[in-house]
Amino acid sequence: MQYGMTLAGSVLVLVLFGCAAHTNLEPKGEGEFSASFGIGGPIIEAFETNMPVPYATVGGEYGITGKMDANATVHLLPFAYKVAALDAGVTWYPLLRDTWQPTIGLQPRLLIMASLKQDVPERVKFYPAFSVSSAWGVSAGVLYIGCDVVGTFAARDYDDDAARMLLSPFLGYRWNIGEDLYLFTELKWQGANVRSDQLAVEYLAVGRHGAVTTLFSIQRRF
Amino acid sequence: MRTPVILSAMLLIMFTACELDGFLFNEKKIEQYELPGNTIADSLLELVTFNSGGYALYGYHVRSEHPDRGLTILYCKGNKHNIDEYWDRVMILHDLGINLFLFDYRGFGMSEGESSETGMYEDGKAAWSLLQDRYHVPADSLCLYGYSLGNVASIYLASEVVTPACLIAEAAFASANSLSQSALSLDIPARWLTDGSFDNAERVRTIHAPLLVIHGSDDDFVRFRDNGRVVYENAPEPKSLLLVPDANHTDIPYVMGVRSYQQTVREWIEFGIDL
Repeated sequence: MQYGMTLAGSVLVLVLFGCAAHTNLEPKGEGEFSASFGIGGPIIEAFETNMPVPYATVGGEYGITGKMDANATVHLLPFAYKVAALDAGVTWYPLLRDTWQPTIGLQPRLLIMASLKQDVPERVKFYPAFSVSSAWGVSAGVLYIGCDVVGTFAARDYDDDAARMLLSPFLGYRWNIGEDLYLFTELKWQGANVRSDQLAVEYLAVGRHGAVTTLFSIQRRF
Repeated sequence: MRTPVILSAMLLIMFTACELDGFLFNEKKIEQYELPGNTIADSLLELVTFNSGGYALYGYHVRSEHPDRGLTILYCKGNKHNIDEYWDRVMILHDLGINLFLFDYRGFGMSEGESSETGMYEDGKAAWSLLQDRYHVPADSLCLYGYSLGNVASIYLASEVVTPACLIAEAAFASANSLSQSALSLDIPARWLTDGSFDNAERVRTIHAPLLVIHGSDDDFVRFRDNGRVVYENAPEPKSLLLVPDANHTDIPYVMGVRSYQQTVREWIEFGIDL
């Protein structure tokens, strides 16, 4: 049965931990706007090889003040499975880059998922999320590290002891690839605190925990 | 070589709006069964066709040379391909000196139709009717055996159709929801990703047969903690749990040792008969 479920697993991870968008690294500037498109997801074992799930997102960020942005991301792929997913929040930058001092970003947001199917017992779910990032200028780009935290309000139906918070550390580099155009390349360890070796999905895990995720994102400032 | 496969798979995932249900069924249509490694005499094997919901289903009735009290195991197989994939299990159970019947659900192997949750229920009922009508198997000589996905059919039968002498549930999942929630690590509500519920955890509450749950402690597909354990805890007495150390999803008889596995099954059937 296991072999036959690999593709099923790839379906399941479409909404895994609900995040595939890159984290905001630096303030946009008051009144400034940027848009981004990202693709990337957990690497799973399917069809006798390892492949990343093509989780796609589009998002936008708007500078509210010089130290705070508003941001929203629509998760595209879940729509194919009749699930709408959106996360929205703000990013506050208490510390800005200066020589070796990194820019610190604190990003609380809410992940909202809704089923578009008929006759489901519960239509909308909310998950609080929080990200923290540190970004340094390295060469012409930006090197960054950070961590996402996603929480669940309710226990899962079959596992009272399931983790209530999912920790996902990440490391990435933002490349300047043109005027006001950036490429993010990111490696994330999603759900690093969760055992993932006995699940329907065969993730590429680290020490039997979480799922290794790759992300590529293009951002354009306007 | 791998690149086209990966790209195709990614495109399939991206552009195929679907339910998880379809992926629970891993059918493989064939023209003829091969029964790999078969050591059972041909005279004891009967390829049977029967009707379920207008579809012709195929199965094998495997007669024991000296059937013990007319005992019959109705083996509800897992989701892989077809009967051929489970023939090693057939031979192991046949060694017990018990008649056995296994079949392909609609959509699997030589059976017609398309697989579905409701189809599995209908097919299970049709198989039981066949055993009654053609082989004159009384309920108190019947042992229902479910393996993995097959527990959906066997637990349904024991809950709503027949009171067998005993029920054995090997590597059972709690429900489709248990699979998706554990994989996502989020409390995604039931039926967001599946149309069917495949809810063994609820249905097992109303079975009328002694239940033996067998699960591998290292099952890396249907994790014991939120599947086999739940099925066991929800079932009424009498029941028994065998958590097999170091066993995965598909290798329980071999990790236990075939003799030990056979003895376990034999003892549970005896227990059920003697109740």
